[in-house]
Amino acid sequence: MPRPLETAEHPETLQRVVIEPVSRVEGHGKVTLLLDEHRRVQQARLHIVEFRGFERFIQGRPYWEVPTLVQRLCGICPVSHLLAASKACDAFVVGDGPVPPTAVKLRRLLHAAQVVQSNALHFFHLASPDLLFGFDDDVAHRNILGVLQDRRELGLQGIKIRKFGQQVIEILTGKRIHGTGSVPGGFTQPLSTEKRAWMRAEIGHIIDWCAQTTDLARDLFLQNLPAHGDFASFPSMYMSLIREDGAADLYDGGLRVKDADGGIVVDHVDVHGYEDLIGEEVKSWTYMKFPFLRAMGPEHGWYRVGPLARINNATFLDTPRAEAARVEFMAFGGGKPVGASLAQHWARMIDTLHCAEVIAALLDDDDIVGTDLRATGTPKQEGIGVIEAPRGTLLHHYRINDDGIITHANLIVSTTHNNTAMNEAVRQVAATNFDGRALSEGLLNSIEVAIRAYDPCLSCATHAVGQMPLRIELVDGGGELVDVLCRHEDGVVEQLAPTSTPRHWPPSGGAP
Amino acid sequence: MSAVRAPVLVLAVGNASRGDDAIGPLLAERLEAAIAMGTVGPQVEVCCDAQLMVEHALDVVGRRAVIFVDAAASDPGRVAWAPVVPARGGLAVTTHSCSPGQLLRLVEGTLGEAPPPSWLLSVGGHAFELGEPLHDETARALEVAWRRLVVELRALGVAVNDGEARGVGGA
Repeated sequence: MPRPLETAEHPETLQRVVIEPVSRVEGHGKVTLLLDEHRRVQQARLHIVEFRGFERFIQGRPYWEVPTLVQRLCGICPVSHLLAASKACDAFVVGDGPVPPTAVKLRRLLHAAQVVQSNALHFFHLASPDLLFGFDDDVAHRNILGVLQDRRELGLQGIKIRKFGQQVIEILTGKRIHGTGSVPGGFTQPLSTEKRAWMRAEIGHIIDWCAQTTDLARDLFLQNLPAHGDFASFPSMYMSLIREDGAADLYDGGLRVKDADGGIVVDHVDVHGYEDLIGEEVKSWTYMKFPFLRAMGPEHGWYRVGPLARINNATFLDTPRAEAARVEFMAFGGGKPVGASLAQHWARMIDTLHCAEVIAALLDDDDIVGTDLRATGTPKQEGIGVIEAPRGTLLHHYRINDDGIITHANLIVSTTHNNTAMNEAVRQVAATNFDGRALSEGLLNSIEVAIRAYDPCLSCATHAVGQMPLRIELVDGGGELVDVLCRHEDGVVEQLAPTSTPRHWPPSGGAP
Repeated sequence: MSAVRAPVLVLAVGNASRGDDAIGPLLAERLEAAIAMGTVGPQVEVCCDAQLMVEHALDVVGRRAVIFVDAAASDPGRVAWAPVVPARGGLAVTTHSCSPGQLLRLVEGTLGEAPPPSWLLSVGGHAFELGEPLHDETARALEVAWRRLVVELRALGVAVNDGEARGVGGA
């Protein structure tokens, strides 16, 4: 696992190129490329400033409010936080005791729906333009609007799959956003037979669409080899939850880590021992930490999470069509984990198909309409909950005092797990594509494609209108801004003098 | 899973726990309460979400008019009203954003229908930190935005009682 560009010996002598997506207000990322005296890339750093304040937001609150509260952390994956927090807070109600089977199945149903809708959004509206049209396609066409123009039915399927997932979430939580459903110790309300019937009627064609799109994702990846296979491809370890029998499990299980050759590094690690397994390195240039396996240290112990990790790690998938797709995927890698960042999209659709089939299986189980939903036991004062969120392993860890107030909170979100891997992806692209002469739209496009493969949570923050998706700055070693390239919301790229303000920035919003 | 749709949709977005990003949810909550009390008529439906996303195209399609409500990242305290037209370009970097204009374009491109006339009601915010309360100036601007909203709803044919229109409604 090479890290040749991470730390230059004399960074003060390097030039700096900054690529900064300014989405919303404070939740954004930027890429800094430091050049040496020969204008070759020596360092590449993906900065994500979003992940601060989570723990402070949660501490001091009563634990029973936490599952609902943490949904405010992310507008894209609120259900993932709801479920991870519910699992962690189960300990405050049932201790080591079980949650009723029906409650677990309703949570699994909720989780599978969340993954389906999130993954569908990613593939159809984020990844497919790059894969269908190529990275060098005109930016005015290489977007979801271009997909709609050329492949309208594909875009429509994406919206309908996502809508179905959202409707299942609304049914189970009672609200479109920030509903409850899952609570510490169980689930709040049973599923009615009428709503179960509606979902059963819908899921068949959702599975078919997911299967068709899995084939499309495969074909799009394979049709442009070796370019797609080489792009931001690097060896790494992979971490995900795994069931006792080795099947991928997105809701529960132990942690498995595989190495780049497919060897199992650790297996079935109890998530309650995550602090012994995982350390978090702090670096001066970013708020986001860098998790690593303690036994291997920060340099060699980093890993990837997410769909690619889940498919690479699984011994098998417990649904037939997804399992067939997994076997095909692993055959492409010759039985070893697939390391190409763009294969993440193929893996993501296998993951989506798997979850759609899981929904069907859960709906076929009569337990799903059971009414035994809440359990009690001997409460504990520390709880840890781990799930596989759409972008990867999500961990919530809380401690409470005698009054049930949260005194300690630690969250490791998927984007944090992938921090080193995303830097590695950007480094690969930068080292290959930046010639050191000028900021170019081609470089910008390639770095965007690499970032998109991991879809980091860059803007969990707010969603005020007025955003500028991308800004590239060239800053010399002395800190002077020498060049600026902006990509505006409408996709137009604008070269600016270093002291200029981009057009329409900040946006005014219109006449009062 | 289907119901008769109101001709006018107010689509509010924001995060109630991120300071002035609460503008959208707060206005949505007030409008829902007014509809429940009958001071604003049932010709309008409220949809509130954390972020604008592609599936909202299915909420928008077939309406007579749509009003987007959101915080703005500039001009703190300023209440702005502007028409929204379908976007003609744009490329997302992540799945975490979709503008009102992009959504209207999706309605046009995906669903094959002309998007309804749409406007954006925005309020400039001061701060958007997690756990922060609404800024005082933003709270005052919220009242201005509410009055603007009911005036515009009335202009779109939604029944609004006189007290609500003057900003002294019971909701």
